[in-house]
Amino acid sequence: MEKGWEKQFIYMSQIIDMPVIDLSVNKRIGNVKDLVAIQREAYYKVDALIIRRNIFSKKICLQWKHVIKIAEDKAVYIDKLDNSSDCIYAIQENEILLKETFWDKQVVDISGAKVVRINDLHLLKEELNLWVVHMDVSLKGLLRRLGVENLFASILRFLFSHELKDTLVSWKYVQTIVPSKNESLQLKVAHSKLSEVHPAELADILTELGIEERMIIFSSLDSNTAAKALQELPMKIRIQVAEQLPNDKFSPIANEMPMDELVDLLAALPKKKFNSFLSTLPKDKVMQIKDLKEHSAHIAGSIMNTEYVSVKHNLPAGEVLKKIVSGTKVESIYYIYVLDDNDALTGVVTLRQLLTAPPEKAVAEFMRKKVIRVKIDTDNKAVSNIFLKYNFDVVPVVDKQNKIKGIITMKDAMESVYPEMREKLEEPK
Amino acid sequence: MTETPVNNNKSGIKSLWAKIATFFAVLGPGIITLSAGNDAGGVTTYSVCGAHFGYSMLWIAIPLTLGLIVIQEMSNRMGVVTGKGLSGLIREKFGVRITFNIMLGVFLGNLCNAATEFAGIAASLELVGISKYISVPVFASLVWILVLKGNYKTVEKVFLFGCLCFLAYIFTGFLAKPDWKQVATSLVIPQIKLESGYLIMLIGVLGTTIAPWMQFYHQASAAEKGTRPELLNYSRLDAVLGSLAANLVAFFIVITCAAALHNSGQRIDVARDAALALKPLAGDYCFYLFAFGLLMASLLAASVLPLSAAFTVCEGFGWESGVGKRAEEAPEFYIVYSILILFGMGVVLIPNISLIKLMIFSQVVNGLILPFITVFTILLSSDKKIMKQYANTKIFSIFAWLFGIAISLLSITWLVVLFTEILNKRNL
Repeated sequence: MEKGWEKQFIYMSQIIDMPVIDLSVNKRIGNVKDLVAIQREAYYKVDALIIRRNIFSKKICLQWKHVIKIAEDKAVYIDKLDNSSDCIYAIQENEILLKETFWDKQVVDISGAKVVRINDLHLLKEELNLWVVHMDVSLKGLLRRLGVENLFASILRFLFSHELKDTLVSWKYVQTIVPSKNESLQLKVAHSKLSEVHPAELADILTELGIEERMIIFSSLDSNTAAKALQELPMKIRIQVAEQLPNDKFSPIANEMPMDELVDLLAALPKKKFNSFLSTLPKDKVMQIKDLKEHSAHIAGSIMNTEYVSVKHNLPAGEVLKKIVSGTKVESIYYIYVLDDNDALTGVVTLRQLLTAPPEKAVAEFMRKKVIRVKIDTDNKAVSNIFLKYNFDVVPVVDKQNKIKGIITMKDAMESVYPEMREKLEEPK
Repeated sequence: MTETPVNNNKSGIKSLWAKIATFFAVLGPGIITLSAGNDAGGVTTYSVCGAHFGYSMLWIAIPLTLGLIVIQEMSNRMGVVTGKGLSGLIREKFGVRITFNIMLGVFLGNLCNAATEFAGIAASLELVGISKYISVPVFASLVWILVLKGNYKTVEKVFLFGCLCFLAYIFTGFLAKPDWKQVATSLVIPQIKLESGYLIMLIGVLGTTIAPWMQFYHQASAAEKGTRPELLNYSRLDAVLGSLAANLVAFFIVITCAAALHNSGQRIDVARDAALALKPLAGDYCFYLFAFGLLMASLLAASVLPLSAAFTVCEGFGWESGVGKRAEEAPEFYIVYSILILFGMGVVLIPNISLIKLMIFSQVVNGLILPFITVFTILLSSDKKIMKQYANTKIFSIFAWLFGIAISLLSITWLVVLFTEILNKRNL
């Protein structure tokens, strides 16, 4: 009979608790208590098994190479119990226990962008090798664990002609939540997967998780994704997360956040955390933050963002474009503000104008000289009215000397005037 | 170097106000859970206790309150520190099989609880002449809509408001003019009569005061509230005050019925009887207040208990749950919750149904799972991996285990005594 390439799928619940038969002495030496797996590319491969004779004996760890037959739902057969491979909890840095780590635990299903609980693991049996390929989050898996799958399925079939379906999620879409002991393991898996999820959905996932799990997932995000997700979180959780982040992790995230959001968040933090975080920032950033904080809540100065592009009036269009391309993150690149020799606001150009103008032409020649602006102490309502009246998305904020201090987006203006709108969005679901 | 203060702690008074404000911000889970514990079944139990046994059981009030505080504090702490519910924690630590059994118990117990609550609503409104065929469907629909279509904040506010109405019982207590000297002595001096009726009542009081669903709901509620672990002490205050307030109300129900009904030898079976009995003996005000309190208690419990069960079951099995979600988002949650409400409503509308039997059944189920839940709670809250620095201290553990074991033993004793009674009655 041609052996060929034997491929089959089994569930981990068909192996756990099965007797282990040592064929060299033809006796049961214990039961399978757990499987040790090591990560190979995107999937885990079973490396060893954990055996325990009875409730009172210690667990022993046996290399997978000793396994010569797997009879699911029946037994696992090994060639001999090699004494030198007895190891008690000698699990390596990059190995994990499948049952202890995954069964009944929560993970993130990236394809569905939600938190799910693993009922069972679906394994690929490739000759004698076992690979974790799916997680089972279905009712069927739950019933299988309870040992009543067949009973239930036949009842359902009899009563309703309904077949219980498997819900298997490919391991590629699983973001595990493994606590810090296995940090190296977790970081390898992390980045690529979660950054594909939309920040609003990430925020939903984070909200649903327990406190420790939330921090684990959040810490595994890159700064950009983390900043975006942070902004989508309800305020209460945002504060909780920010508070628990060590300063060195918080800094890069804070850098990616728009200033006005950052200041709001910092202001809500407890004193100790606020001060300790400030002390890690460069002086000018601290001044910026303090400035923004000081403005009372109802004026333009408190909702403005200090990241904008401004150029001198004699700069040619080509140079301006270069500046935008190479520049740091700003809130909006569609309006570029033009300053005169005294650094006062004298005009504005749009990105469209820059792209269509001859590159050697100075911006002063085609800029719009009449710039609608607001003062730092202009009331929020007045700011909103300006947006309603004129058809643009961003308005500059100037001080008494007409020097530009920041910009306000329409979204910020609307939110400031209608705080109820903001709260509604943040309501826990 | 940094001169700018973030908070302005100029005077002690300002910081006191800040503390009070913080307390009110975290208030909610404890008060609601414990108040909902005084549901129709509770009111009935306390009324019967007072009417049949007078002041003789008051001595259990203080140890019972202490035990309640210890247990609810653990539930609250776990919710605040982990942000997860009890069934989730049980599943992660003890596995799916144990979880399934507990869920089954919770669901069955709550089916009967739901029926009892709607019975309470029906009974209290019947006292003022409204038929149960009107009152029950109306309130059942209201509750269903409020919980499934509202959001958590609104629901919480409504519940909190409902709690205020328990003051009615305190007023009732004073109106009934109890013998305060006797009350005081009974409170401090224990008297244990070794007759089965007394024991059954005693443990019934215990079972209705410390119920498993309360631990699930309190923890889930605390987790959902999102109080920061640093504010744990404020949250603890919420749990402690809730326990005290709830037991104070129970205390007043007992002395009301003791004062008004014990001497006349009136036997009562349900809270309704208690209300009616109060009328001629203690006056119209007493009657109306008591009936009003019963309605409010039943409404609050009818909203909270099925919700608690639905959350618990969904969390244990890994299904989506949540107030304000759409049916497609959380189908199992909708189904479980609706079954509970429909069952509760349906059972009450059956003519001539014996609600006492339902109540006893639900108390039996609760009594069966209570020891397990208590032990799990203590084990989980002692686990340093889960609770980090907030795990039980050694001293706390000793008290917790003492209370836990006492409660479990009493629960088992009650079940044994009850079954013996039932078997004896059968043999007669």
